[in-house]
Amino acid sequence: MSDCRGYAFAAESFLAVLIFIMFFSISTNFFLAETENIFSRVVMKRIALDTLDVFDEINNPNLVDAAIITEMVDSVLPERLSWRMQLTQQDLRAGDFVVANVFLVGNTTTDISARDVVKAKRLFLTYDSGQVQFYNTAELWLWLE
Amino acid sequence: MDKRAQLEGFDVIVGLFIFLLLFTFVSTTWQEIFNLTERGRQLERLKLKAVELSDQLALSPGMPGNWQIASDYNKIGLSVKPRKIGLEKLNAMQNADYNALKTKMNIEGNDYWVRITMQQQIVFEKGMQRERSLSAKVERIVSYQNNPALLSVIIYE
Repeated sequence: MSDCRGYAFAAESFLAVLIFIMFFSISTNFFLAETENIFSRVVMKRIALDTLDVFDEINNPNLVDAAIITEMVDSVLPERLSWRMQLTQQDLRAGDFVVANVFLVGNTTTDISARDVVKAKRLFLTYDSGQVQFYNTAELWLWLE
Repeated sequence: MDKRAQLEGFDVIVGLFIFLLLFTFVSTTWQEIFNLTERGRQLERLKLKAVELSDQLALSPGMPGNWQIASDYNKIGLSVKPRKIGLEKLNAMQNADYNALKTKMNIEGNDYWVRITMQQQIVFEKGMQRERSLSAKVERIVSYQNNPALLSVIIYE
């Protein structure tokens, strides 16, 4: 009788230690995975800001061309990233801001509400014959494939 | 009486065996967890360095701003304005000594590899690639000769 109790105690101890180790290993892995995730977001945020800055720098005259925007962004973004851009052009020439055009380009079909998305926004002007034509707002969403 | 003593001896052996088994298992697991977290910390430091270096190269002109023609300089940067890569700075970096650049990039003790690709073509490359070593890679979008390009920075432990 006493022998059986001894074995039962050893088995319980073993099980307890095993559960503790499993719990500890899993929580450690979660911690490391979370750290990795934070880093990805930091880098993705930088890439999003870079993209809009470069976009503004070199692509100003072609802002309204969705095909050019798509080609440009696709040619440089790392393949593991998906993107969506919304460009809103507002006209102030009538004395008040009026939305003139709204373009949505990139991956417009994916539901990003459930994804880990970073967003960048940039405001800039486009000109026509030296006069401000549009006040533009470009918003870029990036997420991992 | 003798029989009971033998049984207790057997219990002790089994108990000892289970203890040794558990001890080995626990210590091995702890060691693995420690290695994992230590490696994680190393990787974290590398990633931070890679992000800082990518910021330095893509956003800063260097110190002084005309370091590419200066006889002495403190740190290098590749941009003539944020995210716009200057050709002269790129050429100066290409011609600079690999090890001397480590100091100017504040990554003494690490190896590095910097690359710029445009339309999937490599237009600039400096440094060395290493296999089977801990590394962190950061990619940035820049403008090179008025075209979008991808700046990749890898730092090795």
